[in-house]
Amino acid sequence: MSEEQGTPQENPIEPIRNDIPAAEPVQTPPVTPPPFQQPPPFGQFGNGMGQQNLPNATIALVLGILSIPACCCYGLGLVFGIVAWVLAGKDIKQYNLNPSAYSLSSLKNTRAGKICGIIGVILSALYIIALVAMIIAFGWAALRDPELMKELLREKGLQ
Amino acid sequence: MAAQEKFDVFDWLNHHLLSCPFKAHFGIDCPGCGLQRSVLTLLKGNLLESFKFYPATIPLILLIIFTAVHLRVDFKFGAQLIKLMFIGIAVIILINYIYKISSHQLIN
Repeated sequence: MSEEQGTPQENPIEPIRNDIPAAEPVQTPPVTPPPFQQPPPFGQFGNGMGQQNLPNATIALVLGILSIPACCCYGLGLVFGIVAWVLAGKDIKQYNLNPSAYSLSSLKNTRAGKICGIIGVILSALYIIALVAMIIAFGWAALRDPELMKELLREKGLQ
Repeated sequence: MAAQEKFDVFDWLNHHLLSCPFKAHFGIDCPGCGLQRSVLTLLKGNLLESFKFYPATIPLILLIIFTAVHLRVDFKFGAQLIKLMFIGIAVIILINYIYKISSHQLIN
């Protein structure tokens, strides 16, 4: 039954299809100049392709990660961490101003860079705080002189 | 000859490690101390020794390699994974440093 009903319906469709190509050349000319420069409406094409990457996404991520290996090298880790944090913060602000212009993957990288930078800064800061606490507890001279340090530690019963 | 030359390279590196400014000034290890020695032993292929010198070296190298790949290929969960690995490494370094302090390896 269904096959018998299907065949008569196909025949009336075909003439309609033949009519469409005649109308198409009229529609195409206004489509050819596409509005590439116009930003899409707010939040509409959030995951779309062909968007710009945030300018400092890669640098922020790399510096954020390097902030830990560089932790002990003359305070470089602190510098790397702060730079990554600031750059990523700038980029996230830029993204929030115009979310549709930048790709989501670069935003994720930037956020990861920011978090890595913050952790690197926290680690460096913890170490500097510990160092300052040691200087306060034992004095500058003791830290520069291992023998004096040992005596101080024996007095305090730490070793 | 080749083995001797290789040995000389490691020997040269061993004598030209960047000395930690904090350790040079105060005689106390910083949280990053041991990283260079650890990388050197890892280059020699000694995983266990490398872990003993500095437990965070191997995850750190893995993280750097993964980041390099991620920046080219752009994995979907790459950024998330990098964050988690980084937090893990930070925790390893903290635990390692606290262990060093508590076992009196810093001041002796």
